[in-house]
Amino acid sequence: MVNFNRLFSQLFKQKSKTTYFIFMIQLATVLVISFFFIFKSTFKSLIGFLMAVIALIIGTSFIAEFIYLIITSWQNEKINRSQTWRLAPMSAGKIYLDNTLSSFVAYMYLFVLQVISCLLLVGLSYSISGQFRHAINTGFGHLTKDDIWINMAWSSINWTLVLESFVFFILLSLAFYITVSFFNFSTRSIIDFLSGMSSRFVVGLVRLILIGLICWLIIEILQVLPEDTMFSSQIGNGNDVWYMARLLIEFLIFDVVFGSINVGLVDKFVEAKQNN
Amino acid sequence: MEDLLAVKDLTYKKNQKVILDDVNLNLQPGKIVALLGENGAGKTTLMRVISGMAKNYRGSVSIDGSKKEADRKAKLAFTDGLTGFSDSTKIKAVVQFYRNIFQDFDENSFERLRQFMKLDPEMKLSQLSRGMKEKLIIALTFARKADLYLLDEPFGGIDAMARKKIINSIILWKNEKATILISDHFVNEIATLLDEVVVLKDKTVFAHKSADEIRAHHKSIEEYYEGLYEDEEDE
Repeated sequence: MVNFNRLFSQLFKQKSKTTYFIFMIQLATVLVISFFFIFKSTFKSLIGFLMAVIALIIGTSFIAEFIYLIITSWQNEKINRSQTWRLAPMSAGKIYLDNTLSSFVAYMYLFVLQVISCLLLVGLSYSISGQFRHAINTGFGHLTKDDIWINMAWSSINWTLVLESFVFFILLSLAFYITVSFFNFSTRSIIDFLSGMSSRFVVGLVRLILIGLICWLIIEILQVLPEDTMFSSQIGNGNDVWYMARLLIEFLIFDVVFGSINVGLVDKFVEAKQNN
Repeated sequence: MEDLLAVKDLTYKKNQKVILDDVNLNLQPGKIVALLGENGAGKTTLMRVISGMAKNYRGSVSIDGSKKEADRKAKLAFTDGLTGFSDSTKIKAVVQFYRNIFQDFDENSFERLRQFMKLDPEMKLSQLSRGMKEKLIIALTFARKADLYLLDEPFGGIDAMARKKIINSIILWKNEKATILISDHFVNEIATLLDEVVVLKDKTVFAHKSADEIRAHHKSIEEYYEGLYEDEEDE
């Protein structure tokens, strides 16, 4: 466990650099767009600029997170086969778990940075703009004066569904990392068994066949699942807590099964890249 | 005395090609052992199998009785090419990585070795010549208090003078009970250090002799080693 934590902190340090990098790019992009938006708009004020920044941070967060997933997937696979990292005194399977987990935690960190930056901007807007302060105070004052409004506001939120959606977000991100590693590990294991004379064409063909196989497997899983799951017919019926719970179980099973296969593959077959 | 390293009936295949076939090797603690063989004889592969970097082999490998990959890795220090770091990584960041990952990494030892190798901790990996990088790798490897050191052609890019100094000092950097397995083409230069010689030939351990025994029957270890290939050259 000591080694696991030590490696985790080292990996997280590396992954958080990507988090900061993407967050800075996102922030810079948002600032530039907001500037042009205010410049062209008739509503030229600091509060308008800040509101535009907040809206754009929220709007671009999905793109930033998707880019993060792509970059860290590539980083993960590089580390999974790096002799430098694989020499850490742990089994290859544990190094893989540490690697995936650190990417995921740094991913959550990006999410937290986005939330904090929005909250700070709201705080800044509140402190500098009387108009904004008035709007907030009026809104909250209204709520606190009448308990019915508070009750209505709270009861309109389905907290179970909010929690389930958060867990779904976690399991989906993990599923992405796990699928990329499964493709990489299975391809690597098969290529190592092929004759050394195999051409690039054969290696490419193996990769293509594996992509096809993974797609076929996912389709088969979807067909085996009962009709009333989100995978098949009820996409968009997000209010159903039970159906969301079922979806979570399906993703959990996917993550556990394919995660375990990956641990087995990296422990038994996937070699560190020779780098001397 | 119990063996520090025990390789038993090891066979390793990759891409349908047998690279190591029925290798048996036992090394005792406190020895400095040369691993000799032609290019492609399987020296690096054997070290990679011992260190858990190469997979899917038959047979068993144990270090101080431990067969598990994690335990083996904790007991050995393997010269690594440092390719897991980007070129912009500074030496001091690499040291921090080693300190965090390896519990047996001794920063004071590294500092002494760094000064010996004349390396600036502020230098980036991209600024290091091949020789300087090899010096850094040697310093990082010996800063660990390992039971088994695996040195895979560690001196290739180091100039003759520095190489001589490093080779003469190696014995001072290791614990008395630690064993060094070193593969190198400069047989003559490391010859004075050696306790044993292992020759890999025809995919297996062709010979495993004590250095004293070789010296008693041949002019030098290099002559003995070259003699193993004379018949092939004649053909």
